[in-house]
Amino acid sequence: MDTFLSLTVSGLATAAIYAVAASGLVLTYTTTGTFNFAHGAIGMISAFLYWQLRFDWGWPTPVALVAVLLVAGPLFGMGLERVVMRRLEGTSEITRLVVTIALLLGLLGLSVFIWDPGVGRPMRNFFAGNVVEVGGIRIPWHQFVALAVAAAVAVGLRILLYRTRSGVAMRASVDNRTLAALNGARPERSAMLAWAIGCSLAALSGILIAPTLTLSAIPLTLLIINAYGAAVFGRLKSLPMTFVGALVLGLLNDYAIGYLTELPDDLEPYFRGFVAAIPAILLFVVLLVMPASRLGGVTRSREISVKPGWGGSLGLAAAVVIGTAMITPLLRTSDLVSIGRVWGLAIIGVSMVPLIGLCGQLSLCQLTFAAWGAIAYAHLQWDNPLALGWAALVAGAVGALVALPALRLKGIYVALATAAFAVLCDRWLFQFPPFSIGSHEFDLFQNGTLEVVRPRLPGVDFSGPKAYFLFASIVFALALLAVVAVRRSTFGERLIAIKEGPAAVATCGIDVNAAKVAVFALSAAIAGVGGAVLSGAEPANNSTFDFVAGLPVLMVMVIGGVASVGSAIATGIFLGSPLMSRIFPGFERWQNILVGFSGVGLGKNPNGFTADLRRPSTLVKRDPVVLVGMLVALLALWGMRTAELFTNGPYVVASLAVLLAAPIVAGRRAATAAPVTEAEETREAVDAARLAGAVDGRLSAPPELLGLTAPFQDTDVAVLDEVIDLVEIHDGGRGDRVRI
Amino acid sequence: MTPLLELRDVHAAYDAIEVLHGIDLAVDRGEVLAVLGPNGAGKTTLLRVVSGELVPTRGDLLVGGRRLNGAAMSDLARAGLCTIPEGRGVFPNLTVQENLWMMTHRGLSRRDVEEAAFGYFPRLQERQSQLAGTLSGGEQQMLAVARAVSTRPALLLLDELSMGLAPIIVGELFAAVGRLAAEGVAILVVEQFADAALALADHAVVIAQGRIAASGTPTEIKEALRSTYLGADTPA
Repeated sequence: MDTFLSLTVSGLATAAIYAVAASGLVLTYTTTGTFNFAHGAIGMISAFLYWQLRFDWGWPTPVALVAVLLVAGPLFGMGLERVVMRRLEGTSEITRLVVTIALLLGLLGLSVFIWDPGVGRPMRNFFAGNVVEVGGIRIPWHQFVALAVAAAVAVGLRILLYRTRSGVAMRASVDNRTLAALNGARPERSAMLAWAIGCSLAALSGILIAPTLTLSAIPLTLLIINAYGAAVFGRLKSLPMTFVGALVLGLLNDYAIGYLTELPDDLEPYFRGFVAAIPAILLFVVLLVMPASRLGGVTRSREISVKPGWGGSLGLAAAVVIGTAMITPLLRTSDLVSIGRVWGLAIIGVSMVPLIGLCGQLSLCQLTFAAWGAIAYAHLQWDNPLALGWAALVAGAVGALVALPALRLKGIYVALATAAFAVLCDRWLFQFPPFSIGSHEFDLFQNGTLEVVRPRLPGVDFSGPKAYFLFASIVFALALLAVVAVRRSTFGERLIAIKEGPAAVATCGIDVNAAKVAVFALSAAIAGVGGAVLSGAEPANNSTFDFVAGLPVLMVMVIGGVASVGSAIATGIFLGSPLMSRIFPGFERWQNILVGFSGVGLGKNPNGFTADLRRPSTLVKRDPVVLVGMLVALLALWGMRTAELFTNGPYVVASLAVLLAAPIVAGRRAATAAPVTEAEETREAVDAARLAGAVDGRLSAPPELLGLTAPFQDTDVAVLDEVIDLVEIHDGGRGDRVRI
Repeated sequence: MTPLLELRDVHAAYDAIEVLHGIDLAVDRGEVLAVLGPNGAGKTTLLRVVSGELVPTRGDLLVGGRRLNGAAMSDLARAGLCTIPEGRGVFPNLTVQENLWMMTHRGLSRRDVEEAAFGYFPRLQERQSQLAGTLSGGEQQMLAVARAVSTRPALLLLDELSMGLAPIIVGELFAAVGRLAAEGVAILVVEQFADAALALADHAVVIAQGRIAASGTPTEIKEALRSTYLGADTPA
C-alpha cells in the first residue's frame, strides 16, 4: 500500500511536468495553428542552458531561472515567430509541421555541438534532499514544486485565454486573422506572444524533467515529446482535457516503473522497453478512440507536383546505374564501407514520394517500415534477389496495418500516429529477447546485428562489396522507375487529388480509404526493400532504424522536394556518403544543424530545391551540343581517373564542376542562339513589353472577359502561366504549349 | 471640404492580374455610397483596398485628406474604419460575448459594446455565451454588424451584407444600417441586392470590369442598371 501511495504521489508529479509541457504545446497550437514538433527540443536545449548557468557557471537558482524562463525562452519564441513562422503563411499544415521537425533536428544538432555529449552533466532537483513525511510516505520537495508549478500554469493560462483581451485576441487570430485585424487586433503580436509563452513553458518543463535523467539531448527531447500524448487527449484544444491526459500518462508511467520490476523473471525482459513506450501506446489508443476527422475541403497551397516524363526518368535511372558502375572500380574497399549506405537510404527516400509527396500523409515511421523489411530479409536467409520481394511483402503488410488508424485521421494526427508507431517499435518491440510463437522462434534483431545474406544469381555474384554496391544502385533505379510509374498512373493522380481535396475525391465516387491503405502499403514495401538493401550494405541494429534517425532522411527529402524522385538521390548522397565531410572537414557535427536549419527555410520554397534544378536540366537537355559535350567531358575525366592521372578527390571536384558548368554554358548559348522557340518568343515579347511598360506584364483584357469578348493573346497565356507557376510546362519540352 | 474617403486612380492587382484599372470615387461625411456591379467586377477588391487588406499598385487611398496607402488594417480599424467582410464576419470558436469583446478596440468598455449590440439585436443577448459558430447564419451576420453599431465608426464598409440570408433577416440588418446612416455614419455599401442598397444610398456607382461604368443618384443608376447588369431583371 505504501508503494502504491508513493508511486501515486510521484506519478502526480510526473503528470504535473507533462501537463506543463503539453499546455505550452496546446497554447501555440490553438493560437497559431502550428503544431510545434520542436517543443521537446526547445525544452531540452533550455534545460542545457539552465545547467550551464546554474551548475557550470554557478549562478544563483532564481537568477538562472529568470534568465532561462523569462529571457531566453520568450526571446527564442519571438525570434522563431518573426523569422520562421511568419513566412509560413499560406503553406499547408504539413509543411509547417515539417518545418518544426526541422527545427527539432537543428536544435538537437546544436545542443550536441555546444555541449559535448561525452561529458556527464548531473542536474540536481530543486530543494534536493528535502523530504516531507506524510502518513508514512516520504515525499521529496521537488514533487511539490512540480505540482505547484502545474497548478499555477493551469490557472495562469485559463486567465490569459479567457479573461484578458490579449488572450481572446490570440484565439480570435487563429479563427480568422484578417477579421482580427479588422477588429483592431495585431495578429503578428498575438502570435509572437503565443510563441514566447509556449517556448517559456517548454523551457519550464525541460528544467523540471531534466533531473530525472542525466542531461542528454535525445532522451530528454523524447521525454518531453511524451507529453504530446497528453495534448492529443485534449484534441490539441482543450486545456482541461490536456491536464487529464497528463494525469493518466504520469500515473501510468510511474506505476509501470514501480510494478514492472516485480514481474517474474521470465516475463520481465519482454517489458524492459515498455515504460518508454507507454506514451506512444497511449497516443496510439487515444488517436484510435478519437472521432474520425471529417474529409477536408480543397486546400490551396503553393505546393505543386510536376509530372515526370518517361524519357527523363529512364535517363535518370540509367545515369544512376551506369554512373555507379563507372565509379565503383575506382573505390577502395574502405571507401565502400563509408559509401555503402547511399542506395539503401535513397530507396527509403524514394518510398516517401508516393505517401508524403503525392498523397500528403506525413509518415514519420518510414525507417520503421525499413526495419521490418530488413528483419524479414535477414530472417529469410535466401541468396536470391527475389528475397527482396519478401521484405517488401512484410513491410507492406506492416504499412497497411499502420494505415488503418491513419485512415481516420488527417494532417498532424497522421504524423503523430506514425511517430508513436515508430517509438513503440524501437523502444519496445525491437528490444524483445527471442520468443517463440507456436514452433517458430523469433529473434528480431538477433541479439544486436542483423545477419544478411547478399544476393547471388547463377553466374552473377553480388556478394562482394563492389558488386553489392552496384546491385543496390540497380534496386534503387527500379524503385525510382516504379515510383515514376505510380506518379504517372491514374492511381498517382488520385493520390494527388486526395492530398488536395479529399472530400471532392470522395464525391467523385473514389474510395479514399482504399487508396490510402494502398499507398501506405506501397510506400512501406519500398521502404522495406530499402531497409533490406541497407542492412546488406552495413551491419544493421535497432539504432540504425530508430525514430530520430529517420528524421534527417525525411528532412533532406523535403528540402529537396518530397514529391520528386530526384531528391532521393540527394538524400542518399548527402546522408549516406562521406562526400560532404570530405569537402568540409568536421561536417558530421554540422550535419543535423545544417539539415535542420535549411528545413526551417522551407517556407520560402515549399516545393524543394529539385524544383529549382528543373530549369537548368531542361536547358542542358535542349542543347545537344552542350549535352554531348558534358557527357564527353565526364567520360574523359573518368578515363583520366582510371589511367590514374589523379586521385578520387580532384576527380569528384572536376566532375561536379562539369555538371555545374553545363547549364551555365547552355543558358548562354540559348540566350544568343538564333532559333528561338515560339514559347520563348512569347516570353521575350512579354518581358520586352513589360520593360517598355506597354502591357505592364498584365493581361490584354480583364480576366473574366478573356476568351469571351476579347481573344486570348499569346502574352495572356504567358502571364497566366506565370501566375499559376506553369512556366516549366509552358516552355519545357519541345517548346509547344500544353493544351488545357 | 475634403471628402472623408477618396480614391484617386486606384489600381489593384492579385499578383500579375490587375483587377481594378483606375477607380476614382469619394464619400463625404454622412454620405451613403452604393457600389453595384456584376460578379467579378472588382467590388470586393475595392473594399479590400479601402480596408487596408490590399495595397493599391497605383493611385492613392485618402482618408480625411491623408494618404494612407499601405496602412495596417488594424490601424485603420482603430482609426474608425469599420469593415464587415463578405461571408460571416465572426470568430466561430469564440462565444458571442468574446466576439463582442474583440470590438472594444476603439477604447470602448465591454459594457458599452454589449449595450449597443444587444440594443440593436436583442437576439444576441439570449445567445451571449454560445459559440458564434453555432449561431444561425442570420444571427452570425447580426453579430458581425454589431461591430458597426457598437464601435461608432467614421466610415462603415459593408460587403454583400445580404449574401445567403433570408429576406426578413436582410430587412432587419438593413434597418440597422439605415439607423446608422441616419445618425450620420458614412457608409460604403457593396451589394448585389441592388434595390436594398439603392434605397439607402445618397449616391451610387456601378463598377464593371474594374472600372467605374456609371455614377449618379440612385434613381439614375436604377435606370442605367438594366443595361449594365448581365441580366436585365434585377430582383425586386
